[in-house]
Amino acid sequence: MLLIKLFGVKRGAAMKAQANPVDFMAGVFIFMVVFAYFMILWSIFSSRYAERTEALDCELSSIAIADHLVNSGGYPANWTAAPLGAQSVGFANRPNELDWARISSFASLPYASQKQLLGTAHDFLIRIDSPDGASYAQIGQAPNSSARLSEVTRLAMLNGTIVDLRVRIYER
Amino acid sequence: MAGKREGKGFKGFVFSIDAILAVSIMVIFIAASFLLIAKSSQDAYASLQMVRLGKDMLAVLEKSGTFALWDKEVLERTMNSSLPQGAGFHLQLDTYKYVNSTFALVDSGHYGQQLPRSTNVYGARRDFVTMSNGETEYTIARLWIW
Repeated sequence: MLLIKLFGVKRGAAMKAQANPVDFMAGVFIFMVVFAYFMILWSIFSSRYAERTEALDCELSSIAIADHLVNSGGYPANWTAAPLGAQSVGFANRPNELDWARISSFASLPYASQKQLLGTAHDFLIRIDSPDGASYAQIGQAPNSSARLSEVTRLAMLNGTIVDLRVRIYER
Repeated sequence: MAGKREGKGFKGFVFSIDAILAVSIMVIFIAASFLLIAKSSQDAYASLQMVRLGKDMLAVLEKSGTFALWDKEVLERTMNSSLPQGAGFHLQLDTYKYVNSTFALVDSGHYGQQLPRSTNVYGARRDFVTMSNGETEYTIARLWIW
């Protein structure tokens, strides 16, 4: 009755199948609310997704690099004779058995060459420590406190003792 | 009755379908956005790292000769110092001898803590052969870490 009084529409045949402005306005309003809600969620999610993708990329790089260093000897097998000519580097002469000659050869390279050989565009720090904290080697550059980083720890043997090989990949 | 169903009583049908479709689509969108947000906060590679750590642990225990000692204290101390702080483990060592064309279990040792029921546990296994008093022993090491 209110609608009929407000919009002067007569009850009966004239009302059948007619969309009135209140229906339309209500529909548009609900659509706008849902659409705005969705856009806000999308905005939050897309920025979080971008951050997450970068973090996952770092994490994946650190996992792959650590795995390669601990399980592979690098290519060619005698790359320590000419480290700059190496196609890939690895520290192991057998899986989980690190070779000090390979570690020191890699450590002697310039940082840019090390990054290239590791196949990463990110910055890195590789540490080889004993479980009780004694440091055997530190290769790369230490991240500053604000850097987003990913760290992977692997266990291996070096000269008959158990060591932790830590690979940190980070973005400045 | 039939006339009534096809006539007056059926007038709102198109609008009802329209509303149901709209609500369904909205629910799907909202559910999808919540699902994506929840998934984005999960660590996708945490399980991979734990599995690799378990395999490394068994490899270094074998290569360092710690398994061969069969010393519970040394084994647990080595594992506790090598695994990350806060990580728990359970290690089972089963040793077999090949006697009369069959593998006979000659020793079974359990080390570390009891397996938890309410957290994710990752497993690794390593098989190796040792010689003891001129006899060949086959050992299966199973490690669970969490």
